[in-house]
Amino acid sequence: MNLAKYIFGFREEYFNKVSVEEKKKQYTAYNLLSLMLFILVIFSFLAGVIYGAIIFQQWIFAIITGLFLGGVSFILLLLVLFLNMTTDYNRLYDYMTDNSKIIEPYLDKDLTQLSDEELQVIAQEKKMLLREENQVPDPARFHISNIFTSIIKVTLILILSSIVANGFEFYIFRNKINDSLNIIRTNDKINELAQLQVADLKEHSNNYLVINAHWLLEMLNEKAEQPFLLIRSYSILLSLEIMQKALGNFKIVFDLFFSILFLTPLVLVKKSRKYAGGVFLKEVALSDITTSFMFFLLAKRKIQQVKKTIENEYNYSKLLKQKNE
Amino acid sequence: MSKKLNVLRISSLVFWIILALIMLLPFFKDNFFTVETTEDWLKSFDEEQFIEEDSLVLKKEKIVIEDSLLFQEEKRNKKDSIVLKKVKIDNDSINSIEEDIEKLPKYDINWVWSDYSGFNHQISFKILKRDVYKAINYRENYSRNISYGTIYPNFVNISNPVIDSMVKAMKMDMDKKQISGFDMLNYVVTAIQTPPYTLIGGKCEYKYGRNFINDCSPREDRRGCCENIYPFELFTPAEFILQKTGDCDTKSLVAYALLKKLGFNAAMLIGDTESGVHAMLGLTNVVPSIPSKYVQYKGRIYYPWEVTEKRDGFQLGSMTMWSGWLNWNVVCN
Repeated sequence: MNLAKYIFGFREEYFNKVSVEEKKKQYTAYNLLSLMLFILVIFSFLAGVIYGAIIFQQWIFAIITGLFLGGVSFILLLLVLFLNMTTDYNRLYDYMTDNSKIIEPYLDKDLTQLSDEELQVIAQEKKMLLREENQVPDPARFHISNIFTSIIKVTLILILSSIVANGFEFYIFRNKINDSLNIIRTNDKINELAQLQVADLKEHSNNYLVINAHWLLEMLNEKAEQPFLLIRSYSILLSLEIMQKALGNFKIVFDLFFSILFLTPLVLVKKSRKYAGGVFLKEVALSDITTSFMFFLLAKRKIQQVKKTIENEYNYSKLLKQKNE
Repeated sequence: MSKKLNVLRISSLVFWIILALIMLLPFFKDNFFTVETTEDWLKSFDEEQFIEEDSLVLKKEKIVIEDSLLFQEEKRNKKDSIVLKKVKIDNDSINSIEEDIEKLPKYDINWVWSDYSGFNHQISFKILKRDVYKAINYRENYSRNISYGTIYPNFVNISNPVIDSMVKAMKMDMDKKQISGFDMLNYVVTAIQTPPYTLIGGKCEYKYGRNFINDCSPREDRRGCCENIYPFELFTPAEFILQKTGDCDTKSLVAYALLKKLGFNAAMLIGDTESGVHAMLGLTNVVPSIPSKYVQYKGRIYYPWEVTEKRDGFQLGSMTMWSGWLNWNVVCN
């Protein structure tokens, strides 16, 4: 399945001038990247469903939360991937941002007699020339701003990964968390403290314990109108605290797994030559430059044609004289 | 190029391996999740967390034994601190400890002072380490949202065994010396006034015209300071009796507790002076020999007694130290 076509806009025409082997490698690289992205988005969706189930205790809201988190994750990951996906052919990059060097020779040239096909030939020749000139990649030089942008990108991904990691951990350890929550709910001391009334609070030396006990039982006792889903608690933070304490350092390891999982596509796009130095990005850049150049030629020719029409069909001396009279 | 190519292979390999590990995680979940930690978490709901023997679970804080004799001895032995240890014990353990109470480790307290008449006094008594640790732990775990009216009686209650030991020793000494009536008041108050003033506070800095230093011991230059003592920057009576470190409210509370046990109508007074909020011992049913300010409470008149330091001018009703007298109230009687 050509996933890259739907995610990164892979089209056959970009590989007309590329060897079959190179084309295959590019397809593999981008399909792999698309698959990673797809998996991460699915993970985010599932984590969202788990969060929704714990927070709202209703499947419909759980699915809506899942779709929301999945959507946010998709947009965010795609944004970060595209931001990292800059071609190593830096002269092409320069032409894309400033095409004055390409159009300069045609600014004073008469294009009125040229047909669309002839203009197409000029644009294609320019494309071939640029392709010839850019055989070897010329990676971008380091700039201080790269540090800040990288920090922001990595931070965004890490936040997302930790959210997804917690969601999955909730699901994986749900039975154990429920056992722990049950221990709390049936604890004699908690129930004893929760028996104390507000009037007793002033007399009680540690009021916060009584308040906490009241709150705990409120969160842990199932209400008939809102039965529990997945986790037997209405408080996600309580469940999180219990899970964190029970997992200890293992939680850091699991969170790290998810961080690596989410950061891998980012590192891949940034560091692998298959992407920044690959044919796809080069051909996309060339196609973009050629299209812009072609539209410049068409527009220039139209301007020149309109100008000539005005000069031939309108007698400016006569019109000026009429105006003065 | 080949090196760069490896990035793709290695990265994708890492991705799939981690993905596989995550997928396999549910099969090994029992090995990572320890339900027992919930029991530890629940311990925060136990009000009575007893502190026991030195050989039990370690706790970080150190407390310097300021008892004069013990302090000297500890200094000589280069052991000027005792590491407190904390452990929660169940009811059975409490019972067994009660049975073997005589065997429990104790602190030897020796108190030496002289009263306003110049008579020297000395009492010696023992207090259970357990009782002191219990009071310290109680204070440390005390809610910060409690009013003055609640914290003082609670601190006295938790320190009762230690206070009782001191009262017993004082009673024996007073009976022996046939001290009675107003002399009993002088006897008790001068005992509390004698240990040098030590600031119990949040931060040790320049205050009340003195440059306090972070040394939680009863220094003769009265610049000792115990930092970060919460709540209310107050020691329990048990801690004061062990360390002899305290400022106005700690000392007033101990004096109040001792006098109550001895049958006097004492109270804790709190109000404003020109230097800020201050605490003093209050006494009713006794009339000072000098004109004095007073607090009226529930039909009784309480006269103030400055207990922070022992000077000739600091007798019942004396206000030589303070000229300001605003918003004074009885907070504990």
